[in-house]
Order: sequence, then structure tokens, then C-alpha cells
Amino acid sequence: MQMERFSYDNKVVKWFAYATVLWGVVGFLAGLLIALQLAFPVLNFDWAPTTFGRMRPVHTNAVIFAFVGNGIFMGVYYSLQRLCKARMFSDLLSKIHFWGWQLIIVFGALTLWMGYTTGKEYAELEWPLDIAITLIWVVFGINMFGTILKRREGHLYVAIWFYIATWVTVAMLHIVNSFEVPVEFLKSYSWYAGVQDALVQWWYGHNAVAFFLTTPYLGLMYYFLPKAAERPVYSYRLSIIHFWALIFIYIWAGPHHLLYTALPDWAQSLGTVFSVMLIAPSWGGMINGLLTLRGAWDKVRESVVLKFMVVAVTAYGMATFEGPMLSLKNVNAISHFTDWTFLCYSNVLGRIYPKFKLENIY
Amino acid sequence: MYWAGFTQSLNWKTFTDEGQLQYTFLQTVNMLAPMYKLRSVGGLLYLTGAILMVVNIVKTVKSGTFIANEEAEAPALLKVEGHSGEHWHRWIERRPIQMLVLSLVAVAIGGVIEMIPTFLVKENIPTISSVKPYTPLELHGRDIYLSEGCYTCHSQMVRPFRDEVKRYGEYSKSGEFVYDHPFQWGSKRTGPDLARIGGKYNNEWHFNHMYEPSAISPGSIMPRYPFLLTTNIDIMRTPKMIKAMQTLGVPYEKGYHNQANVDLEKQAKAIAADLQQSDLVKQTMELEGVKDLTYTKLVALIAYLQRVGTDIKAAPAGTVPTH
Repeated sequence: MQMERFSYDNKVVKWFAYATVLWGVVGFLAGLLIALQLAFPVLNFDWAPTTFGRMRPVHTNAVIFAFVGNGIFMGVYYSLQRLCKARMFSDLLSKIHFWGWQLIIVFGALTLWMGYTTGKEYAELEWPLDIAITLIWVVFGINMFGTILKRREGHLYVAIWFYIATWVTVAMLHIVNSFEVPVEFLKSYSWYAGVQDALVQWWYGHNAVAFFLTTPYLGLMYYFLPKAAERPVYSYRLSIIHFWALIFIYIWAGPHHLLYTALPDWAQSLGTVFSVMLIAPSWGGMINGLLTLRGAWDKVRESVVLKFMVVAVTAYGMATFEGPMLSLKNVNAISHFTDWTFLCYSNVLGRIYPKFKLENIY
Repeated sequence: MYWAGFTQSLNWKTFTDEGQLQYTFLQTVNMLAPMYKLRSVGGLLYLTGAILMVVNIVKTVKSGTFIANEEAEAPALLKVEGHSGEHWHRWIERRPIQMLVLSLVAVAIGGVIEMIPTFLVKENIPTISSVKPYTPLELHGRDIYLSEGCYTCHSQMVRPFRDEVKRYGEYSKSGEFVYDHPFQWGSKRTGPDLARIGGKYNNEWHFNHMYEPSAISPGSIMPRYPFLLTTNIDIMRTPKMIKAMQTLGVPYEKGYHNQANVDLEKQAKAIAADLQQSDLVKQTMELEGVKDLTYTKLVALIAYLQRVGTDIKAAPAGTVPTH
């Protein structure tokens, strides 16, 4: 059989890695400031851009879309090339994707500081930026599918299933939730009103967690964990069930953010039921990850990378237990959030290390 | 923060033997102060971890050499055929486009089933005839409420629980929010719920509270908003706002965008005049060098806050649906 020679693009991976780290530190700084503001209100500085109400969206957007977002792109660009045995479809698109995303982040932070916001949690950026996000997401999609189509590997590995689902679902969520009527440049009103707006918003908000913070990282887990442990994934069948059940069930759970509100009762109940069901595929995924380490636990002792991964996967398991429990009792949203950030944090951290190690070994 | 959540929720729900609420909202906030401080320490540790990571990465990068284009080789992809006896799922693993489509179908089902009835079936959101669109000034005030991120600390949703009805007032009905583009139910009560704030305090209270919250509520952790007093709303925007709302189906009369600023001025002047009866307000204006309150952001915000949740009170008895 004839061999073809080609090369993997590590440069774009490196850029995304640096961006991840940079925005991570910025996002955590903002988080620390708003945490301190609750204890010491004088730290609001009597200046509009530094008040809690404006800093909190800056913090959440920085951590979710800048830190975790760049982390996703870093991991996907690294693993997709290797899983497809092909270079990224287009270096130019990679470049546009990288700089476009960083520009969106910078303008996003500036507009939030200036008080331009749609007023919808985790979707605060105004309509011109919403359009920019859509365009860059399409660039990412073309680059990803271009690579997949020119692959040298017949079958798509489970990690790629998760990337595909992530891409298509985030596109759907972002577009549907961002329907708005522009009033002028940087000011718009949501297309939906009241109860309907709440339902759409939390369908988006909940699944932004699911498909921006969770599924891409599950894909990365399926790539990096077996790689680091030098063991095949525990169960192929479990991967299939994990994937399809997770993406199908996750979507329904949005209304658990609206328990006891004026949302119709039937929708609240649906949200709760599916949230409880969600434990099964989530834990299925965790178990699939942890059992991959069977017979290789001694490696965890030696490897920092594996230590991070084990903590990340276990934290994922705890968070996905806590989520359904909260959806029953609706106690407090903030505890939920701290745990999630931790999860992403350790998750991403676990990914950064292998990448740099690999890069430097070669 | 788990602990803080339980503490606050239980405190909210504590009643005295006489059937009164045990704690004011502010007391429940102040009890959380040590936990908020502890969280800041946690945040600091977190940040320290990130900085350590940066140091570690910088060192790693320095000690290694970067390979921008990593060489690899693999055979070209021949047409992959399935073979008998393979797992049925292998079929789709060879077909990325079908994978894309099926994933979309899988994730679309849940949303479609939850949204379509909520949008189309009228019984889901019973209308309340006394609920009317916001006035132009209140719309401006609402824009400020959004822009300052009030929703990050205040909810607008009274749930049908004994303690909430006692603390805030009548629980929220779905029909009350039909003109709320976007909704502002919020997700966290660092401050109290505002769904029934309209009419609870007078204009002067709001003025002084926005200017210096802890002067009105000692121990309050709300930021000061002095800049709302020294900046004005942009009334050039009013007609555009009304038109956008009309596009969304909010029933303003045809051509109302020409009339809107007249109504706005009238309402703003009334609030400004009411505020200026207070000596404390006058002192504050002097201190900040503000001559005219009419178009200040603060007056618009007060107009909005005084409106929130009041429409339902005008409804004739027995006409408000129970959900």
C-alpha cells in the first residue's frame, strides 16, 4: 500500500493554547474581583464598568467562551488532525478562526464594560457580535468537516462524534436564542417575550453548559485519556450509548432552571424527569473513562497528566450527580456554578499538559 | 458556597411562632458575609493555581523546541466497505454527513417538543387584561436595568411559596411578562426579588438608595450608582425603541413613536418634581452638580422600578388566572 507524506499543523494548536491560558488568567482575575465585591462592596469603585452587574458577565463570558472556548479549539485542532491522519483542511481558515475568535472576545469584553448587553445570561453579547460568532463558527465547521472529508482513516473515532454534535448543537442553540430585533447598532430586543423567552434562554443556557462545556471535553477525554494511559477505551458499546443518550437527553433538561416559576408545569416536569435520566449517560461516560485505566492505575502515580484527568473525570461525575439533585430541589444556582468551573478548569488543565509534553518530546 | 446556599434558603423560610418572617432579606445576606470572604480566598487559590500553570508552561516551552509542522505518513483512504458481522454502528462511523444530520435530529427533538406548545397553545400563558405595555420612560429605565446587569443579583419571579408571598407579595403569573423583551426573571438572589417592587417604596427612597444603598439599608452590599444621576438617557433612541417593540407585536398605537417623547417628558418631569420636594435629594444634586433631573438615567430607572409588578393590582377581582 502506498504511503502518503503530510504534516500536522501544530502552530494553530499552540496559538489556541496560549490564548486559553491568557484568557483563563484574565477570567479568574475578574472572578476574584466579583467574589471580593460581595464581601467588600467598596471594590465596586463607584464606576459603571467595574460594578458587579457589569463585571459578572465579563467574568462568565471570559471563562466560558474565551478560556474554555479556546481550550476546545486547541484540543480539537490537535486531536482531529491525528484522528483523521490529515492536516487541517485550510491553514487560512485556521488563521481566520483564531484571530476572529480573539477579536470577538476583545470586543465582547469592551461592549459589556460599556453596558451593551442583551440582558440574557451567558448570551449577553449584542447582535453584531452574535453575527460575528455565527460566521466564525461556520469557518470552524468548514475547517473541521473539510479535514474529516479528506481523512485517511475510514472510521470516525468516538471523539469526532462528540465534536460533530458539539458543532451542530452550538450552532442551533446560538442562532435560535439570538433572534432579536435591532434597535440600533449595539442595541436590540429579544424576539421572544416573558415565559417563552425564559424557556428559550434556559434551553440555550443549560445546553451551552452541555454542548460547549461538556461534549467537546468528553470528546477530548476519549482521545487524550486512552492516549495518556496507553490503553484502549474500556467499552466501545458504552461509548455508543453514552454518545447518543447524552446528546438526546441533555437538550430536554433546560426547564429545571425554571422550577416553580410561571413556566407551565408540564414543561417544568419534563425538565426534571430528563435531568434525572441524565445521570445514566453521564455516569456511563465517567465509568468508561475511569475503567479505561484498569490495569494502568500505577501510571496515575507517575503521571501528572493522568492525575489531572482522573480528578477531572471524577469531578464530572460529581457535578452530573449534583445537577439532577438540584433540579429536584432548586436550592441555589451559585453552588452549581462553582463546581462546573472547577470541572472545566481541571479538565482543560489536564489537556494542556499532555499537549505541551507531546510537543516538546518530538 | 453549598453551605451558603442552604443557610440562605433556610433563613428565607424561617418563620417566628407568631407566623411572621424571622429575618429581613438584608439579615440573611449579612449572615453570608464570612462565607463570601472564604470564597474569595478560594478564588485566590484558584488564580494562584493558574499562575503556577503559566510559570510551568513558560518553563516547559523554554526547555523544548517547537515543531510547527509535524511530519507524518499514512496510506491514502481507499473506499471503506463494511464487512459482514461488524457492529451496526460502524455504518454511520464511515459517514460524517449522516452523523451530522442524525445528531441534529437527536438534539432538536427535545427543544421542539418543549417549545412549540409553549409558543402556540394559548392556555399555557393566559392573558391578563390589565397588563399593559411599558411607557417610553419605563422602557428606557428597563434598558438601564439590563445594561447595569441588575439581573445578576435580583430576580423578578415570586414563586408560590408561603415565605416568598409573605416577603414579596402575590406570586408571579405567566401573563404578567408578555411585554418583557427580554425576560428578567434572573437566576440568583444576592439582593431581594424585585417582581413586586413597584409602589413598595416612594421615589425618594429609590433615589437615595441608588445613590448610597448602605445609607438606607445599613450593611447592604449593593454597589453605589452615583453615575446614573450624572448621565442622561438618549431620547433620540425612543422612536426606534417603540418601533422595534411594535415589530415584536407589543400593541402601541400606530404612529405612537412620534408621540413617545412627549409622554416621556411628562412622566419624567412628574418624577423629578416629586423628588425635588426632598431636601436630601436637593443636597445630593448640589453635591454632584446636577441642575435638572428630568432626563437622568436615575429617573428613568425609578419609573421602571415603580412599574414592575403593579399591573396585576389593577385587575378586577376574579379575573387573574391562577398560573
